[in-house]
Amino acid sequence: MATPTYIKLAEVTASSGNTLIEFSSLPTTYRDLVLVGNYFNSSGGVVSARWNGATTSQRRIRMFARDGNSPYTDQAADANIGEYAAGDLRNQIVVHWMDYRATDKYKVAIVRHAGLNRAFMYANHWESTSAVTSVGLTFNRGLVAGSTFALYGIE
Amino acid sequence: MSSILLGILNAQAAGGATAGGAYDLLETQTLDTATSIVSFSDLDTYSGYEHLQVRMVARSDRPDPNTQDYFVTTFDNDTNYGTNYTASRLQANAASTSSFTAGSTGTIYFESVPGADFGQENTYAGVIMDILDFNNTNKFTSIMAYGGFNSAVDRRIAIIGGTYLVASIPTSLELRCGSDNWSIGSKFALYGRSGA
Repeated sequence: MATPTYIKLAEVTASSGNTLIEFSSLPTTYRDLVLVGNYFNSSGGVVSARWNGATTSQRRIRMFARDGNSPYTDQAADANIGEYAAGDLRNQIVVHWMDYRATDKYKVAIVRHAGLNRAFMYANHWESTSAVTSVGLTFNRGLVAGSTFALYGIE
Repeated sequence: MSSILLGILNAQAAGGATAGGAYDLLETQTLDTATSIVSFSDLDTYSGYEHLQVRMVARSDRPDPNTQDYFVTTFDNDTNYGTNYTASRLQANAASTSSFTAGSTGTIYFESVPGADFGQENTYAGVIMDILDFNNTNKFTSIMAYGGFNSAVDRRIAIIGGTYLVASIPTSLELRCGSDNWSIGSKFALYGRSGA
């Protein structure tokens, strides 16, 4: 039997200078979460994933393209899931936090991120078998007011 | 800082679910036995949807150190790879990016699934696959999938597009683990999406 899903759980509009967007007390109803962000910054920087309030014990691989450069790939044991440029053009990020309540596997997030003259795709792992109770994004440069983030739940 | 507590908001969202229908959970499979092929075999009962989506968190039990595995997507158990499928993919392994076009001899091939153990314990790939316009006999059924994984010993990421070159409505979808079996604990879910 079909079950309606992909339910909007929350939406937040950032204030000027916010560096953390976090959704906590996550429901136990869903299997995956999808975070959709539309944001801009006055300075360029990096956005990182937070699992249960932490940016540690993570690994990521990415491939990306920048205007005028060949496609590139790298990996690191960090929480980087996107890089943004300064300016009025917004950045878009979609994070699929998958099987977030599972306790038999490390957690994986698949990320698409696009902004001024650049496009990224990431596979991020949080090396923990703990159930996830909060997810979030941190920005090393403050957000401009009006940036929006929404979280959806998928059964 | 913006920190959002979801306890109350989720209660509000539950009301919205009854008015939904644009994106429905249809089937789930969580493996308690390793298997080489995961199938969704009732696609013909989902004619009310325009598109389907598969979301998977999966790994292979390929017993090979430092090596990833792959999977192949088929429809209607049709393994006539020589003529009935075409695909292109862009993938990376952190050292280099590469792209492939399978052309008329192709398979819909996704090479970003971790093998078993050897430092990859507990690591599963996340993959999201859209199956587009599968109910339309005027178009070939096409898919787009993206995902990957990163363990302590290996890492892959990929995005692929593929087409089933048969102008019929497929009644089944198979996800064929490349070298060995899908591991116990792998999860696969099928969703239906209404048209725009």
